[in-house]
Order: sequence, then C-alpha cells, then structure tokens
Amino acid sequence: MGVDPITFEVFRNGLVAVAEQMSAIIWRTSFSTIIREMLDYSTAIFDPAGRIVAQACRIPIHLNSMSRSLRTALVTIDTWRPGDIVVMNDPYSGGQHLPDVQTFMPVFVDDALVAICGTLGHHLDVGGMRPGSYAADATEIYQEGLRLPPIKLAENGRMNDRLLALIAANIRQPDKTLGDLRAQTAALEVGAASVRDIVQRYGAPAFREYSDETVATSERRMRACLAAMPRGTYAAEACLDDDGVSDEPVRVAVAVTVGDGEVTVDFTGSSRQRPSPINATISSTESATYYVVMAVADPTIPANFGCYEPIRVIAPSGTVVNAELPSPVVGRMAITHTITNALFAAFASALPGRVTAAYYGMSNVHVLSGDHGAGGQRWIFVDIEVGGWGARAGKDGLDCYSQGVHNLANTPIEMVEAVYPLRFTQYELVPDSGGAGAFRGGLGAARDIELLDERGALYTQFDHCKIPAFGLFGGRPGACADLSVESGGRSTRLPSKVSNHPLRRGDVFRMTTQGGGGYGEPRERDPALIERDLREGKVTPAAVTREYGR
Amino acid sequence: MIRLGVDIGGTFTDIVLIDDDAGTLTVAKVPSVPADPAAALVAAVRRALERAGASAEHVAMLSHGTTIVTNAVLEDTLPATALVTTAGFRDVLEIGRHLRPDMYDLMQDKPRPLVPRERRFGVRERTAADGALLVPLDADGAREILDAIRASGAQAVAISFLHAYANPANETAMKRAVTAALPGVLVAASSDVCREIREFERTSTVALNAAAMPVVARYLDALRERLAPVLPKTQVLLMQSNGGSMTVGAARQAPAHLVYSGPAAGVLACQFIGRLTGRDNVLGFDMGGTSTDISLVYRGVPRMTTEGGIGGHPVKLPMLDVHTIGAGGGSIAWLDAGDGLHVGPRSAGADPGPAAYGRGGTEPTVTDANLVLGRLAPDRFLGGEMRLDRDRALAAITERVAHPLGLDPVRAAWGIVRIANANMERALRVSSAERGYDPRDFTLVAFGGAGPLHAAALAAPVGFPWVLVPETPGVFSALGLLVADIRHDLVQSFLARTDDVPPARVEALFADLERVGHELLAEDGVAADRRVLQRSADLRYVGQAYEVHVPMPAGPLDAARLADVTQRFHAEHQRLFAHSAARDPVEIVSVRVAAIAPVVPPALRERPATTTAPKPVTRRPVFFDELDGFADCRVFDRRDLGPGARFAGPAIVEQMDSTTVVHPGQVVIADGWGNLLVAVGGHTPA
Repeated sequence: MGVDPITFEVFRNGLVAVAEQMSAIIWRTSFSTIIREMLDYSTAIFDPAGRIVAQACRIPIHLNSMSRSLRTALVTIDTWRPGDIVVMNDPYSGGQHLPDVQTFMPVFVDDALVAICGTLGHHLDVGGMRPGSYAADATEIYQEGLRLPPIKLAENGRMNDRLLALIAANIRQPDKTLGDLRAQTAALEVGAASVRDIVQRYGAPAFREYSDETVATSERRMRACLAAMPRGTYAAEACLDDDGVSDEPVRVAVAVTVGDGEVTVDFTGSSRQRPSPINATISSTESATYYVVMAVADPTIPANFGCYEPIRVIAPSGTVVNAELPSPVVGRMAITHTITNALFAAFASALPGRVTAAYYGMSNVHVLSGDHGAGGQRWIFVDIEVGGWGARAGKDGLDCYSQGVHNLANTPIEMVEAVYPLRFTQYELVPDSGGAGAFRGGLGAARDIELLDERGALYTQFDHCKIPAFGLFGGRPGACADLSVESGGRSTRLPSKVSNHPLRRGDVFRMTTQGGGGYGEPRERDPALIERDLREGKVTPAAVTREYGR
Repeated sequence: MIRLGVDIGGTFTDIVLIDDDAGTLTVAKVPSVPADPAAALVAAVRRALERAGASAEHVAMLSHGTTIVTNAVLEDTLPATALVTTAGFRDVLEIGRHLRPDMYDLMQDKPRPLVPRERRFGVRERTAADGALLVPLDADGAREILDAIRASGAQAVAISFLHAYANPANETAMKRAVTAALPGVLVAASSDVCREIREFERTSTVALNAAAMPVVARYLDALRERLAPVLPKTQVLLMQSNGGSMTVGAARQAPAHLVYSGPAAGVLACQFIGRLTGRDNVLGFDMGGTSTDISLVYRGVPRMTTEGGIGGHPVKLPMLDVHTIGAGGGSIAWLDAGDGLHVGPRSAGADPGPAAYGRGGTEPTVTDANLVLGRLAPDRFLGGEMRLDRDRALAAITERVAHPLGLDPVRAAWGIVRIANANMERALRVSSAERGYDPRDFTLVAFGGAGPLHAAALAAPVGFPWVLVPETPGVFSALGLLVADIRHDLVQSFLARTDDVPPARVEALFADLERVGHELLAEDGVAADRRVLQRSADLRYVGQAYEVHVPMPAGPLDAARLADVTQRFHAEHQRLFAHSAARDPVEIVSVRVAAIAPVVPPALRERPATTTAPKPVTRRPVFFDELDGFADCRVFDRRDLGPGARFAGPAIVEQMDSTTVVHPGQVVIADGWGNLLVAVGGHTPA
C-alpha cells in the first residue's frame, strides 16, 4: 500500500464528516415526519464508478441501497456536467419504494469527475391512489405514485422548473415535497463544496488512491471477520401473518453459507410475490442482509462498498424478496423485518451469543385522516409504533424500543394533539407481552387514540397479530399485536391491515404492539430478575406461575 | 470589593480572586475532596485570601461551579424519587422516543429511567393542547397515590401532566396535595421547571430536577455551615448550565439548571476575555486530561441550546452549547482490527495516567506523544513538580503503534498527535463552519492544561486567524464565574402562525413571562433598576419539527415587529441550513424571556507595553512536520513575556499550568491583559 496510514485515517474520517454535514441539513429542516422522526433518509459520497465510499446512514435499510440506484443512473445518463443534479425514485431502477426520492450531484475538480454526492429522503407523498402514497390495496406499482427513472433535476446549476412542475402536479402536498427537495439540493451543494476542499488538500490522484483504499480496507476487515466464523450452512425461516389480501402466511426462507472469507445468503424457498405492497425489490433485500451480516460480524468496520463485496445474495426473481415489475412495493419493510428475524435465527446456530430472538418484526404503520382539521383543512397523521426487542444471551430484550432494519422515533403526543383533532388516552407498556425465557423478550406498548374530528378514516399496516415473534433456545414467543376500535361502548377487533376504515367522533383506535421473543429456558431465569419484573409490574403473578412455574 | 470564583473539578479546585479596588487578580489551586466538596472550597478560599493578603470582610460575592448534580446523575446516586403523571401515561418516561443510539449493536442497553416503574403513578386528570381543563384532578385518586408514595420512601416527587405547559392548574393542585400530605418530601411540577411542549423531554427534565433537589439541599446546607465562619457576609451564587448564576434559594428549587455548571464557567471566561480584548467572536477550546469542550461566542453572546441532556436523559432547559469530545492529554492511542490508528475516547486518566508518568500505564497517550516530539519537557512539566519519563513514553508508542504499523517511533508519535488533532479539528468545524459561522471571523481561545499545546496546529486548517492563550490557561475557567449575570430563563410554548396570530396575544404572553421574571429577580434581592429582560422566540416553517431560536426586537410586539421577527427567522434558517423559503408560512412554537441582573465586570487594568524581544530560557529539539523533523527550538518562560513581547515560531512557551506550541511561520505577541496572541499564518499582527 502506497498510502500513509495516518493520512489515510484522517482522510476517511474527513469524508464521513462531509456525509454527516449533509445529513444534518436534511434532518433539521425536513417537512417529512418520516425523514425526521423515522430517520428515513441517508447521505453518501461515491466514487466515479458509483461505489459508496462514505455514508451517513441513520437506518440500516439504506445500507448501500443508493449505490445500486446510482449505478443505474450512471448507465442511463451518459453526460454528467458540473452543476447537474439527477433525481430518481424508481424501485425497478435500483430503488426500494417510490417515496424514497434520491438525488445525485457530480463533483468536478479541473474538469475531472472526482466523486458524486448523493441524498435519499422518504417524502410525505409522491402521488398514487392513497394519501401518503401508502396504498395497502395497491396491486400494481402504477397505483403507488409517480415513478421517476434517473432524470436531470438541474443542469449546469439551473433547476429544471418544468420537471418540478410535473412533480408538483402529481403529488398531494407539493409545498412540503418541494421544500424537502430543496433541502436535499442544499445538502448536495454543501457536500460537493466540502469534497472539493478535500481534493484540494490532498490532490486528485491521492484522493482517488485514498478513496480506493477506504473501500479495500473495509473489504479486508469484513473478509477477516467472515473467515473467523464457523463454516457451514445454516437455514431458518420467518413468516408474516398475511399479505393483506389473502390469509396465506408469507414466508421468507434463508440458507446462510459461511465460506472462507465470504458468505452466501440464499432466499430460495421464499413465497412468490403477492398482489399487495408487501413485496421487496432486490435493493431492499440486499440492504437487510448487509445489516444483519454487519451486526453479527463487526459493527465497527467503516461502512462502505467494501463491506458488501464478500456478501453474495441469491434471491429468485418473482418472489417477495426480489419482486418483478409491476409488483407494488411500498410496504417492503414487512419483508425486510422478516428477513432480519430469519437471518438472526440462521446465525443463531453458528454464533448464539451475537444475535437476538425475534423482535416485533414490523413497521407498525397507522394513518388517521379526516376532513376538518385546524382551519377546516384536510389532515393526515402518519405514525409507526414499535414493540419489544428479542432477548439476547445474557440480557433481556429492551422494552418498546427500535430494533432491526429501521430506527425511528415516536411523535410527541402533545405535538400531535396541538396539530391534529386527535386525543391520546393511553401510552403504556404491556405487562406479560415479552416472551418468557432465561432472558425475557422486551415488552410491547399500548397506545390509544381518540378521534375528535366529525368523521375520519383509519389505515393500518401491522403484522404478527397471528404469528408471534419466536424465541430462541427454549425461549417462548412474545405476545401478538392486537388492534381494535371502540365505538359507542362497543369494541371491534380489526385485522392487521385495514384500508379506509371509517371512524366517527369519539371512536378510540387501540393498538397493542408485539412483544419480543425470549432467549433460553424460562426455568433458568434468575429469580432476582423475576422479582424485579414483578415489582415493576412488567410481569403479573399469574404469568410467573404459568411461565416460570413459581 | 473582593469577588471569588471557585471551580470545583474532579481533581483540583481552582479559585480566582478579583480585587476591584486594586484591579488585581489572584489565582490558586487546591486538591478537590470528592466526598466533601465544600471542604475543598473553603480551603481554596483561605488560600486565595492569604495569597492576595485580603480580608474576608471585603468579600462581597462568591460564585462557584459545581459538578454535584452532574456526578449524581452519571454515577447513578440520585435519591429515590416518585413521579405522578396523567393516568395512562406513566411509562412515557421509560418508553422515551424509541430511537437507539447505535444502529448495529445488538447488546446495547436503554438508559435506565430516572424513576423506576414501581414509583411512577398515573392520576385521572386531563388538559387539552389549548389549555382547556377537560378533567380536573381526581382528589381521591391523588390521595391513594400519596399513600403509595409515602410507603415507597421517596425523598422527592416529580409531577408531569400532559399539556401542563398550557395550563398548570392540575399540576398545581397535585403539588399542593403532596406538600400538605408529605412534609419533608421535596416536590417539583413540570410547569415550574419547563413550560415547554413535548411530554417526554419535559417529564425527564422535571424528574431529574426533583431527584436532584435533596442532593443540592444537603450540599447547600453543608456549604452554609462550612462557609459561615469564614465568609459570614458573602453572597453565595452557583453557576448554571445557561451561563448565568443563581442564588442559593433558586438552586434549591431548580437544580436541573446545574447539570453543566462546570463547563459553563469556561464559556463565560471566553466571552469575558473576548469583550476585554475587543473580540466579539471567539471559539473556546478547553482541552483537559480526558476530554475537550468546545463552545462558541458570536457577537459577544454565547451560543445556547435547548436540546441538551445528560447520561441519556434529555434536559429541556436552555444551556450553553458545549460540544464535548473524548480527546484529551490522557487519551489512549490504539489500533483497530484493520490496523487503523485511533485516539480516545478511552483515557488513562490521572491514574495510572500516561506511560510517561511511570505509574504503571503501558498504553501510549497524547501526552506521551507530545513528550516524544519534544513539545513537553521531561523535567519541566507542571513547573518541574512532576517528572515525565521519555523512555517509557517511547517504549509504549513503539510497542503499541510504531511496531505494528511498521513506522519509526517518532513518526508514530506524530501520527498520534495528528489523529488527535484531526478529531479536534473535526469538532471545531462542526462547531463553527458547519453551523454557518465563518472561522475566519473568530479567535480560538485555548485553555485547559492541554489546549495551548494543540491549538496553534488546529487553527490554520480550520481557518482561525488568531489563537489567544490566556495568562493562566489552567485556571481560566474559574474567571468565568466572576462575570456571570444572575439569570432566569423562562419559556412558554404557544403554537401559532406568525401571519394570523394577533400580535397582542403574543405580547400578552411575553408580558406574563416578564412579570414572573421581575418576581424572581425581586426574590433574589435585585433592585428594579438593575433588571434586564430579554425576549426571544423559537420559530419554524409550518410542518417542520425543529425550531430556530430568534431574538425579538425591542419594544411591544406589533404587526411590524412580528413581520421583522419572521424575516430574522428566514435569514437565520438560510445561515444555518443553506436554504430558506421567504414565502412559506412560519409558526411560533415557544416564547422566551431571560430575566437578568447584569454583574459589574471586573475592573482589570491594561498594562502598557514594555518589552519587545524576550530572551529564551533554553533551547531544545522539537518535532515539526513542516520542518520534516526535529528543529532546534527556543523555549520561553511565560513569566518573561511582558506586554509587547514579540517573537516568531517555532517556539515553546512554558508555564506552571500549561505549555504553548508555536509553529514555524507563526508570530506571537503578548498583549497588555496578559494574553499571548498567536497569528496563525498568512499574516502578521499589527
């Protein structure tokens, strides 16, 4: 290696700092609650070949995903000039789902392309048949919104106003979407300027060399970690209750083969794609796989293209893990959570101390809307609630906390009530919802929302109302999710996925989220932990008798 | 009149004495007594009075920074506390915001809630977002809870009801019930501490406040007892995280304001030295043994934040925005699995300390690297009170870094300093350029034991034209205690669009907060003509979630001034985030009033220039990358650098509490206030 190790370290951190700087702009100023509370956005620096060199990634599902899109864009758009910005959101051009709008800007120094800056943000609405572009009843991607293959949003520093007008004409909240696009553009410009500073500091040839070495170092480290894992093939599967159309469970099957410094993850045997939006494109499946391998291998390896080189993904096309056009895909998180739980189970046989039992396993999306909000305006409230972590070797699962491929914040109740005609009546942990075990699964939460508007509609995309989060090594499964609406003193149970369910003033939507699976035999649980749980009311005396025989 | 500033740190208790009549400043340092901080404080007071030849009778004021709350939180020694919330919401404190700090780590833990579940109680009551009282406090339910709290042995009670910021009636009723039923138990309501929207953050703040009340009460009782015989007539003040000081009475009620009492003093000292030397924009760089604190003063005003927290617990109170990174003199250099060199955040601390201390430390630290590079001298550390062992430093670096990387040990030492510098450089950028502040408009103020060792190397790449090294970098923070105004920060959340809210409504909110501010200052004994009330507001574009803090124009709020504030918001948004939208609607989220009793600044005297060409006390070889290796370098004693002294780098300046490195091409001038000014390059001082 010709590079000086010290300069290299300074360079690598410097590039991550640029991505972080871009990230801060988008996060602090975002109109999209999905960007700012669910951290569903990402910024990155790529080399001219489209390989990701540095990334500020807030949620695992974006690992390397922009790289696939950028490489499509590099093929379809043949001239990139200074001041150009390319925009795209097409899942069938390397993306994951339509709300994720990606933008890319080439960075030139002395007429040579040295790097590309990129941003990805989940927008509030990109059109389609349902508000928020979350159509549970979509059967084709054409119902999910405006599809943008790679196209120039700016040329030579000038924004393409006609393209912006076309986008604005096809979406529900153009002001907010264009505002977020403006933040993405500002971030690209700030990022490009900082990259140019770095190039000027080191010179273009050194920049290239260091950037290659950044990728190569991560690849070496990942291969070393994989080489240290016990060789063999480890199979497992995990299932969703249903796809929202038919009652048939959706299966994700995995066979993980650890070889010499590499790993192959084969999804053969997974369910065929469904005419509902729970499908995932290959980009989503790869990201979920990369996340689990990073988490069990070594989370400290600087994340870039090199980490993913030794990971091979086999996903038969036409299945839920590699859907084909025109399958709808907006709810792809359902599959990616399931992939994560299946992979934890597969790695459990090889590395039992490095995984967790199954977690809540779903982005529990719920949307309430109505026609008469503040100022008589139509309103839409979108939120996602989490449940309990899977228990781990030596530790209980965390209660009601983000796990797996996403990482999100709840919306403050007081902020919601100040803006929407909604009132919360409960937000508490659910006793006994964590799977019993030597280590207990994390608790789910109960969150109840009353409608104050005259009429409203409810949309949900939950799962694991029938199939619970499984335990490991004798640990019991967690409790299932449960949804209901209380109306005029009567409670009606809902299926996990409802679209356009009518609500009237005073109706209360109640949700109970999934508990995590337990780890190890319940009889091996430390009595002091049982005592603590009883004192805190996290388990009831009846459950202690039933599950732990005390 | 004599004023004392006492900074109680983990290792040392520093004191600064200012005699306003003589215009002199005296400093001293005594070892801290962690088990009894008041004892060290009294020892420091005696030492300073003795050294200054001053009489206790003339001491009008003693201000001090304390880590008592900080340590109680971080060491998990807060007393048993109960929490009463709206029924159905007792777990808000434990559920928090869900967000995990580490994306990958499957073994991570969640911060333990400040109040465990068995001491959290829900009572039937409800207020709406607009302040309408929907359900009055259920008195029977409250009584049952009081019995349970009594049985739980809690020493303090926190009350946090939904939307209490908009109408505190139910919280006030609950507080009254607690006070009546549980004598001796301390109680705090969220509406007393933080009238701000967002239930989790407000609940966390009041829980921390209540839990800290018994701790602070005990400490202040001990302090009064110890101090009474020494300084019977002195007013005692405490430093708050917001950079203001508070009276002992206020601290007993609102101890959550003390969480960053320690670092706040340094920020104020920077503001003061900036004002004294005509520098409006300064960046504070306080590098100690385990960490570095970075702060910013812009146009004479320190930057604040309301998004701080401690130990994973949010504290929703305005505090000075101090960016702390785990890089100090004791930070350990190590190699990761891929042979990547890292420095910190693990530190060798004071014990065993760097390898060069010879106390059993075998891992190389930043101090070891500086010693190998000749920047520190083995026989002149801490004024010669402590010997450093260069061989041990060299061995640690050779074995742990140089050998595995195939580098020469000196290059490896240089690598350690470079990596540490790169970490700090990144933090300096985050604190300045990335927040929209142009470093070229700022002076970097270097203090703490290790600040002046590194500052001159960092200034050039970030773009600071000047580094200022104060006279006594090691005790500089304590100076800040003497310049802190008495301050109360008041807030009222109120969501309204600026284009349709009647200005009179907002004016009424401000007037209300100002009335409370006057009352609080009156309780502190501040006369009406000494009070200053400053208005500001938090604004955002409708639909955003994070607010931008904007000062309000003077005078009663009318339509024109409201429009002016909206304009200021657009400009600030542009500066911070590189974009804005002048036509988009803007909303107010909170209005704020700072009620202040300004302190009379110490009357220091500028000394006229006398010397110009100081003589070095010695020379030694010091490594500079710019010179491709070791160069014979002049070493100055700080005491020889009187006003007007001027010399060029490369050079080393040594003093009891710090060492300053001046790089080749840099020019130093000593000013009349005892500071060294380093012109960083590209220009020479006028």
